[in-house]
Order: sequence, then C-alpha cells, then structure tokens
Amino acid sequence: MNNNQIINTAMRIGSLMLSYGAEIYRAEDSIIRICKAYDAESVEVFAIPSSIIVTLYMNEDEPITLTKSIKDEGTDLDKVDQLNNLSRYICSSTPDYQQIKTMINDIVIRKPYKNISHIIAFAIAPAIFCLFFGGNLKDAFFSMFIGIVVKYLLDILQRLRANLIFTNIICSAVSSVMAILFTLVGLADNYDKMIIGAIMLLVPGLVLTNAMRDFMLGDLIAGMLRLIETLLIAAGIAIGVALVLTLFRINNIF
Amino acid sequence: MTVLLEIIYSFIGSLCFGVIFNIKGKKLFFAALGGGISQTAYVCLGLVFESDITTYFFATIIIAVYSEIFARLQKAPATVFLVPAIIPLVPGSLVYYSMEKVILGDTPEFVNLLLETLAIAGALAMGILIVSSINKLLRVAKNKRIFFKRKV
Repeated sequence: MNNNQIINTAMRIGSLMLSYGAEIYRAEDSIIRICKAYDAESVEVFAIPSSIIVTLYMNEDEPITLTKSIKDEGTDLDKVDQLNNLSRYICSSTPDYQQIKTMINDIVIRKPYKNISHIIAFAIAPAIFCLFFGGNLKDAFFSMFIGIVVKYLLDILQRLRANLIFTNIICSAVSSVMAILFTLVGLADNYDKMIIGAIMLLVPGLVLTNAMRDFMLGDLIAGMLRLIETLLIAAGIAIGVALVLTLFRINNIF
Repeated sequence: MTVLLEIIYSFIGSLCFGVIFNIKGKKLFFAALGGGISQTAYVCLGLVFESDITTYFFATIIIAVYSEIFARLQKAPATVFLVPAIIPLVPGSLVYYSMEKVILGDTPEFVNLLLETLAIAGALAMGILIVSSINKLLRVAKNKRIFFKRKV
C-alpha cells in the first residue's frame, strides 16, 4: 500500500465508526493503530463528533494531512462492532488495499434490522416502560400506537434534516397529545404513565454514555459537545410535554 | 412478584432498545440480560442503601463492570452492552413529573424533583466514568507492564 492508500483506509474506518455512534477514543485509536500497522513513523489525530483531522508521517516522505467531516448516519452498534473487528484484523494481518476496500463495503451494506422489527421494538418499548412505571395493561396496549407514530415521525424528521431540539419537541408533543386523547376518549386510564413510556424512547441514553466515556478518556471537547447535545435533547423533550400539558390545562380539559 | 415483573420488564425493554440500536445475534441477548441485571442490582442494593442516589451509583458500577467483562469475552465495544443495559435506570419518569410541577406552578417541588433528576443522571454518569477510567488504567498498566510481568 502507498501512503495515500494507508491514510485513506484509516480515515474511512475512523469516520464510519464515528458516524455510526462510536466513542471518539475508539475512532482515534483505530486510525493510529492501522497507520502504525503499515509502518508509519508517527500519526497525529484530532477528532470531534463532527470532524476528523489526520496527519501521517512516513519515513522520509512528505507528511500527508486529511480532513473529513462526519455525517450522522443513525446509531448502528452492529456496524461499530464489525468495524472494530475489521481494524483488529487489519492490524494483525495487514491485508492489501483492494481487500480492505471490499471488506469495508461489505460492512457498510450490511442490512440493519428489517423495518418491521424496528416498528415492533418501537411499539413494545413504550408499552413495557408504561407497565414498568406503574401503568395498567390498557395503557400499555395504547402506548404501542404512540411508539409506532414516534418511529415514523423520527424517520420523517431525520429525512427532512430537522435539528435535534425541534425533533424532540415534536415527538414528545405528539406523544403527549395522543396519550391525553386516548385517556379522554376513555380507552386508557393514566395518561402520565403513557407519556413517560413514550419519552423513554427519546431519552438520550447513548449520547450521555458516550459523553461520559469521552470525558474519562481525555477527549474533553468531544465530551462537552455530547453533553450539550444531551441537555438539548432533554430540554426538547421537556418543552414538548410542557407545551401540550399547558394547552390542555388552560382549556380546563384536565 | 412486582419485583420479578419489573426485572422481566427491564429485560424486554433493553431487548427493544438493542433492536433499535441494531445490535445483533448473541450480543443482543447479553445486552438485554444486562438490562435485567441492572434492575436486579437496583432492587438488591435498594435493600442495603437508604439513599436512592447511592443505589443508582452502585447499580451503574455493577452494570458497567458487566459490560466491560462481556466486551472482553465477546470481543465487542463495551458500549454495545452498556447502552441498552442502562436504559431501565434512566430517570424518565422524574423528567415528566418535574415538568408537571412546573405547569402546576409548584416551584419548590419542581426544584426538588429537578435536583433529584440531575443527581440520578450524575450518579449514572459517575458510575460509567469510574469504571471506564479504571479499565483504561488497567489497559495502560498492562501495555507498559507496570504491574504485570511480560509472558515469555
């Protein structure tokens, strides 16, 4: 492999990892290890959740710098796992460029779960958490519909490239309206438990976990960015719920 | 009985989140099992500690250690197991109830609940933080052979 191919491979793997929701540390570490596996003299990496800069120093050649901005592809921990295994494999057996290229492509086109499995997961999760927080079976059953609507809303908003806070306001507002309407009509009993079940879908568990791990591994900038993302999501959820509840309260419906 | 049901709910809830985050195969099962374990740990520790926040903290430590161990065994990133497993501990209901207090105009109760929410989120964060830093220390120590003799 020549120098350009080495840095391109490393960058491709690192940027894909970040866009599928890996920690900064993992992406930086993979890039460094891959370059070192092909006898790089030294590698400098700077990564934040939205961009990576890599400089490769090869013995006697001119250093090469590459930058790449990261697009969020949606969380896919299976692909992170596969890319992680691939980078281990590259480090241990240094395959050639074409081989790595096909292997990366194989991972990128790996199908996530079918849409129907996602819909079922989005339906069952709020129902389960509704029961978990003390709702009854009727509430849980109608929470399923809220979950399915939230899934389609998230899909549409992601396709429209809506920002984080807006997405969460809309999703939590819609789920609150649905929960209150189900209760008003008399189909369900506890609208609060249904809303809690639905907002568990939006709660930023992954981002908070990654933020804390980034902090601990010394990536303070990345940690800050993700912590702010968490706060924005939480604020969005709270605003959406508050908006709807206030509207219903003002009109003395509840 | 309710305790057992809650543990089963946590298992299924984590399973759903595992599917949402596209975790596959055996790893999905272990991630969901982590959810069950986190709720079990929470209930058991609740008998030992009086403070809710201490309970959350130690439950998070247990689940973070669990995910680091399975990350080694399954050769996968620890996040794969940690993220779904921690979901049942996330204080979703407190976020809602503190919002409700704002709307009712009950500011003191709102501040109480908000502080509790933040404290629990902080406890979760500290738990993850401590385990992953100890894990990093161990890894560095192993690489630089500070405590471990090199195997020949």
